[in-house]
Amino acid sequence: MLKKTALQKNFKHLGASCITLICSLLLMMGLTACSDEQTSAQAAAVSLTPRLEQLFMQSCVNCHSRPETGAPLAGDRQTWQKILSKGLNVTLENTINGYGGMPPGGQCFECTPEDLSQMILFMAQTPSVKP
Amino acid sequence: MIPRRDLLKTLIAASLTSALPGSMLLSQQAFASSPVPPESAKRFPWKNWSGNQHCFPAQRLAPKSEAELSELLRQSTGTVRAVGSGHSFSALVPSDDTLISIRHLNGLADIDDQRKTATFRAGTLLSETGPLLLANQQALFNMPDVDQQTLAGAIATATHGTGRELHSLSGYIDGLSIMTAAGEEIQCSPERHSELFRAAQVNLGALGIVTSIRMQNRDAYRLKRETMWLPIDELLPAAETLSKENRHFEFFYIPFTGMALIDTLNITAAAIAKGEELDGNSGVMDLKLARDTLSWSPKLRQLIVGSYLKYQSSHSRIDQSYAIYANNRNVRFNEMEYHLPVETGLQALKEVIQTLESRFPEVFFPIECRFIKGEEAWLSPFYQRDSLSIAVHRYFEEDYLPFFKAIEPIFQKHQGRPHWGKWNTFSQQQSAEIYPKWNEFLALRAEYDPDGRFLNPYLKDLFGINRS
Repeated sequence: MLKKTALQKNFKHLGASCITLICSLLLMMGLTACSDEQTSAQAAAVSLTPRLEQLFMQSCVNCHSRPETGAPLAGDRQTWQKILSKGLNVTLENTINGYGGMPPGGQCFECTPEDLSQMILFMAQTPSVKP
Repeated sequence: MIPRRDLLKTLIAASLTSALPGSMLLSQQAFASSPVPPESAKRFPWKNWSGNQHCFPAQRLAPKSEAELSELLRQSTGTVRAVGSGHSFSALVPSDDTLISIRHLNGLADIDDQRKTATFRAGTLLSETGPLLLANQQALFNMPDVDQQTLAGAIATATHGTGRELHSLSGYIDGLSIMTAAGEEIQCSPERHSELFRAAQVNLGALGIVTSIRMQNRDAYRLKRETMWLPIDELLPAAETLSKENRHFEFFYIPFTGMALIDTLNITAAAIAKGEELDGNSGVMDLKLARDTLSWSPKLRQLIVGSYLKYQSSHSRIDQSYAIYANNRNVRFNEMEYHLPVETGLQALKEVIQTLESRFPEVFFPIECRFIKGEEAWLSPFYQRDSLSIAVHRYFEEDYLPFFKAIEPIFQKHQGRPHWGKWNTFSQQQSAEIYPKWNEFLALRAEYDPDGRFLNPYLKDLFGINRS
């Protein structure tokens, strides 16, 4: 029988904490920029399912939460707005094929194109954009 | 005052005149293009880290348990290839049939305090092993400088660090479990299925899917990293000695500068001390800038960049071993690395530098040189041979083939064996000539995977097996 290690438990805990922190930060950023109705709509639209949260923690957060990596930061709506001005399809294609320092698909083996789109919108805190 | 890290940019800018013709700015055109799926199957592509390998798998599977993996293997048809973290530049992974990620099979499965061994599930990342082992007062003997690979992927290709008296990761395997295409798990070690064990220590993913790996470790330790700059002409005569006087010694030659960065790591009892770190990522991009703007004059490039490097200060820091080994690599590249007999390696390096600097002004990535002790795994490039590893790189957006194809014959002339996870053109015949246990490996592979379920086109060519 395989033991559940301390790190596995800690990582799960750490993962949950990080997601909570990111969501809190995103919410705070949203509150300063939008009306209450908009914020509620966005918060509802851009949350991640538990499965996507796990994939986000595995493949995205390591770069998209650290300014020194140069990756657009999760919640930096201004930067994401510029990126998404090219349309979601172009952004998704760049994500799948890799762009600059970002490896293809963030090397997320299990992510489908739909998953990647959801995570882009989550990081951009935008419920929808032009295709 | 100009920040030190921006000084090189300023020097380069100051050296340029407004009259410099645009054609002199050697900006390399991007060569990588998006793969186009076959018309019949609009599938989602799998691509490796650098983007030089891709495929359109019909199935991507990520089992959550060994039992699920067994079931999936029994049910699947066609070729099955295991995917680690996608850090191989050779075509080990691509298959348009089934790719299986073992990432969910991760974590510490067992620990033996007496024997100092730890059994990891095969999808554990190298970066995850350090804290897990430290919590049990253990550490890996040695690690590579990138730690995002899965343990299974790393040992499949004899991934290594540096250390004249230290093996690759494969050299520290004490036992492993491997699942066949029939979904049966076989355990092997030096005492049990010993031939399978020697073959599986470096297996190219060709024997089955590795599910767990028992590593021989040692007590946890701290390392002191010291870096300094030296002219290559002063370094080369001292390299042998430095490799023997330090637990870990490696150096990076910076093309067109005459300068090398020396990196030594030694065990220390001193407290953790976080010193200033060299930022390898921005450093490489500074070298790219120098290439883009100064390639028209190698002398000016050497004068500016070489002089700048000569006056760089040394750095040191102390931390837990696993935290010292690893570097973040945010600048993507493609890489070729050969392992040469330690006796002739430095001569080969001189020839590599001469070829690079006479024919390839577009190259700016450092040449990396490391020392590794011989070991017993049948397909380890370090099989019964102490080696000097020489690695050359190209920026991921630039065509690496002309440069790599010009350098590879030098490596092969000096009896080099390629890193299995890095770009190479090594053939079946060359492998048979330079690996004493090549035929034994092929026979064992045929015994454990008679239908060739784990063979993709690259491996079929390498093993001399008809693709049909």
